[in-house]
Amino acid sequence: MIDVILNTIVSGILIGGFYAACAIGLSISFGMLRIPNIAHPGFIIAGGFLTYYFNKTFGLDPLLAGLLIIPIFFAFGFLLYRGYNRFFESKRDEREGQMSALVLFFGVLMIIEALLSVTFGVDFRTVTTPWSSIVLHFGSVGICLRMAVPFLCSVLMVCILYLYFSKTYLGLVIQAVAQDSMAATLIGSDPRFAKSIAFGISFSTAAYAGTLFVCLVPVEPSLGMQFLGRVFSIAILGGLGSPLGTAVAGLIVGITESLTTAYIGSSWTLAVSFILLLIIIAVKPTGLFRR
Amino acid sequence: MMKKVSFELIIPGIIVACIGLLIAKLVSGIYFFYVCYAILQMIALAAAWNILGGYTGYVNFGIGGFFAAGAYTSIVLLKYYEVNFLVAILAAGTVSGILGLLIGYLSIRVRGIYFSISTIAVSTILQMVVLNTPFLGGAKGFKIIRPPAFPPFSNYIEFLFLLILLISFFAVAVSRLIEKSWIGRSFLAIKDSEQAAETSGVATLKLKILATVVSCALMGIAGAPYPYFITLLEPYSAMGLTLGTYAFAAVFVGGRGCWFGPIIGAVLLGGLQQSVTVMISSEWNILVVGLVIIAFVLLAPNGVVGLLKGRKKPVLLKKKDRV
Amino acid sequence: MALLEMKKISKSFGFPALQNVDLSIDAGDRIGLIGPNGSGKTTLTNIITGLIACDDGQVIFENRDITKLSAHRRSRLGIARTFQIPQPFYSLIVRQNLYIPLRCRLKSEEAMFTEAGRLLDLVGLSDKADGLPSDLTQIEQRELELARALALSPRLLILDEVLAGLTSQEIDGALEILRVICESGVTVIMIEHIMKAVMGFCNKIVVLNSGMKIAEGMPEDIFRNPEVERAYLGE
Ligand SMILES: Nc1ncnc2c1ncn2[C@@H]1O[C@H](COP(=O)(O)OP(=O)(O)O)[C@@H](O)[C@H]1O
Ligand SMILES: [Mg+2]
Repeated sequence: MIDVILNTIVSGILIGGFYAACAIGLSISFGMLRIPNIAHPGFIIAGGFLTYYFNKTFGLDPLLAGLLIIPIFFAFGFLLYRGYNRFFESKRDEREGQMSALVLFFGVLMIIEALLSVTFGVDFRTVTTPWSSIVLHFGSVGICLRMAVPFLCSVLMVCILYLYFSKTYLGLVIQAVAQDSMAATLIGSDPRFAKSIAFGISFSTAAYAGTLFVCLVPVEPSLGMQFLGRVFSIAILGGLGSPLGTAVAGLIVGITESLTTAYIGSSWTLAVSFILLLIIIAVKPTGLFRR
Repeated sequence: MMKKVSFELIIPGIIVACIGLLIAKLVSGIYFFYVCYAILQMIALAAAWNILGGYTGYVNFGIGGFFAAGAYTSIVLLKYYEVNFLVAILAAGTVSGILGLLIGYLSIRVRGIYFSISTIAVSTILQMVVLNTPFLGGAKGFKIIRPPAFPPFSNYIEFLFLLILLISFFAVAVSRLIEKSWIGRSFLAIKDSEQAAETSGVATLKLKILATVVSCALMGIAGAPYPYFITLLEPYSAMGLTLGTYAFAAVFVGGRGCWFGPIIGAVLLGGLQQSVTVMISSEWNILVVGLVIIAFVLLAPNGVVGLLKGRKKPVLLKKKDRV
Repeated sequence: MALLEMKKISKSFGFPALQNVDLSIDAGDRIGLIGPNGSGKTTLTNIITGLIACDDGQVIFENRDITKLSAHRRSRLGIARTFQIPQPFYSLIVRQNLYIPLRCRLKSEEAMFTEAGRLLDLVGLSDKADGLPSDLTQIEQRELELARALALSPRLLILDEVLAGLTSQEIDGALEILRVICESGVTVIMIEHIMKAVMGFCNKIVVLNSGMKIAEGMPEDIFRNPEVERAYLGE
C-alpha cells in the first residue's frame, strides 16, 4: 500500500519536473514579457517532432538532437518578437493588442498542429535510446530512466534559467525590462533587444521540453491543445516569471495528476490541471509564488 | 419595447421561415442542405460568440463546450424522455445559459487572457465529464437514428435545415437588437474601459453576466438540433476546439462587434471550408483556417466589414448619430 | 453639512498608499488636492469613486455611508471624475461617449442627443462630435473626459490632472469653463500640479505626502506652511 503511494508520488515528481520544463518558457513569455503565447505547447510538440526526425534520420541521440534544434528555435523566437513588437506592442491600448495577439497565437497553434499532421501523420511517435528501458531500484521504489533522464534535464534547465535571470547582467536587464521598460532605457539598455533575447529563450525551452517529451512518451500533433491547460496552470500557479516557482508548481501538478491517475482513474487526469487552473484563477490569479 | 421585438423578431422570423420552406420545396439535392446546415450553424455560433467577444471584448475559446452542452441536453431529453423538439431547444439554451452564468462569474474576477484560458478549461472539463459519464454515452457517444420525414418535408434534413435557419436568424436578430440598443453601447464601453464605464454609471458586472448568459445560451440552442444532423454525437468532435474555432474565425473574418459580420464571415469561411475539404483534406482545412485567422488579425483587424467601411469608421454607427 | 466626508481612510498596496486620511468637503467647495507624484492622490480618487475599496475607513456622501457601494451606483448618486490618462470609449463616436453616462438620467435618444450637443459645446468639442476619440488630440481627449463626467450631472466632480500639458492661455480658458461649472452648483476636487491654477481657482487646499494628509487650509496659508515646502522641495 505504502509502496504504491510512494511509487505514485515518485513518478508524479518525475513527471512534474518535466511539466516545469514545459511551462517555464510560458512563464517567461507570458509572465515577464506579457506576450500571451498560447501556441507555446504547439512549439513544444514541434520540438518533439524535430527531435524525432533528427533521431530517425541521422541516428542522433535525442538529447543531443535537442541541443541542435535549440538555436533554430532561439532565432525564431528572437525574430518573432520583432514582429510582435511592431504589430501589437505599438497599439494604443495594451489590452487590445494582447487580445489580438491571443487570437493570433491561437491561429498559430492550429497551424502547427495541422502542419505536423500533414508532415508526420497523426500517429504517435517516440524515440528509443539505449537507456530508455533501464529501471533502477531503490528499495521498493523503481525509477525508470525513461522518466528520470527528462526529469534531470528539466531540473538542470530550471537551474540554468534561475541563475541566468538572477546572476547574469543580461538576465537582470530582462527582469528590469519586465518590470518597467522605461527604467531599463534609463540604465542604457535597449528594451527591445532584451525582450527579443527573452522570447528566444522562451522558445528554446519549448524546443528542449519537446525533446524531453518524445523521450518520455509517444507524441502526437494534437497533444498541444491538451498541454495548454497544463502549461498555463503551472505557469500561473508558479507566479509567472519565477523559475523556481514554476518548478514547485510543476511538481504540485505532476503529483496531483499522478495520484488522480492511480486512485480516481486516468480518464480524469487531464481535468486535474484545468480544475486547478480554474481554482487558481478564481482564488488567487497572482499565483502562489509572486516574484 | 414589445413593439420593437415583434418588428425585429417575429415578423422577419415568419418571413425567414417561409423562405426556408420555399427553399426546402424547391431544392431537392441532399448535399445542398448539408452544406447550408453547416454554414447556418456557423452563423448562429458566430453571432452568439460576437455578443460576448465582439461587443464586450471577452474572448471565449470554449464555444465547443457550450455548444455541446446544448447538443447533449437536447439528445438526452429527446432520447430518454421523448420530449417535444421545442422543449429540447429551450432546455438546451437553459443549460448552456447556466454554464454561461458560471463563466460570467469568472469574468468578474478575471479578464483578458485569464478569462480566455478559463473558458478553455471549462470546456475541457465538460468534455471530461461527458467522457466519464455512461449516461451521456461516454467516449462512444450516442448513435442517433433520424425520425422519418414528415410533411411538408420530403427528407428529415430539410426539417433540420429549417430549424437551424430559424435558430441562426434568432441569434443574429438578438445580437442586432442588442447592438442597436443602449445595452450594445454599454457593452462596447465595457470593452474599451471597464473603469470608465463603471464611473459613467454602467453596471458592468450585471451587463457582463447578461452578455455571457445570452451568448452561451444561444450557443446551446445552436447545438440542440446538432445530434440529428451529425447522427453520431461523441465528445471528441462535438466538444473539440475545431467547431468553435471556425465560429470565432468567422467573426474575425466578417468583423467583430457588428451584427452582420458573422454572416459574412461564416458564408466566406464556410464556402472555403467546403471547397478545401472536398478538394484536399481536413488537416489542410485546419491549416487554412489558422492562416485565415492570422491574416485577418494582422491585416484586417475589423474583418471584411472593416475593410468595406474603411479602417477609421466605427463599426457601430447609427444613422441618427451621423447627422 | 458636508457633502463628502472621508474618515480614517487607509489603503495598502503592499506598502501604505494612504494612511488615516480624513477629509471633509462642503457643497460648493473648490478643493485643490496637491502632493508630489505617487503621494496617493489618484488612489484617493479611486476610493471616493469606488473603483477600489479602501482597507479601512468610511466614505460618507450626503449623509449616506457609501463605503460599500459599487462605483456605478456612486456615479448615479452624482460622483463624477476624469481619468489622469484619458480613457475614452474608443469604439464609440465622441457624441456616443456621452450617451453612456447620459442614460443614467435621460431616457430618450432625442434628449440625449440635445444634451450631448450642449455639453460638447461647453467644452468646445462640438465640431468633433461625429469623429472617433482616437482622432482627438491629447488635450481634446481630456475635454471629452470632462464632458463625459459632466454628463452625469454630478454633485461632486473630481478632476485628475486635467490641466497638465496645457499652455498658460489654455489653462485660463479651461478655468473659465470650470468656474461656469462651479456656479451651476457642482463641488469640485481638482488634482493639479500647476500651482497658478490651484491658487487661482480653489478656496481650500489639501496636501498629501506619502499617503498622509500633511496640511489643509486656505491657499495662502498652505504656501506659508513649512511642512508643505519640505514635502515639495525635500529637506
Ligand atoms: N492598483 C495599484 N496597485 C499597486 N500599487 C498602486 C496601485 N495604484 C497606485 N499604486 C501605487 O500607489 C502609490 C500612489 O499612487 P497614486 O495614487 O497614483 O499617486 P498620485 O496620483 O498622487 O501620483 C504609487 O506608488 C503607485 O505606484
Ligand atoms: Mg495620479
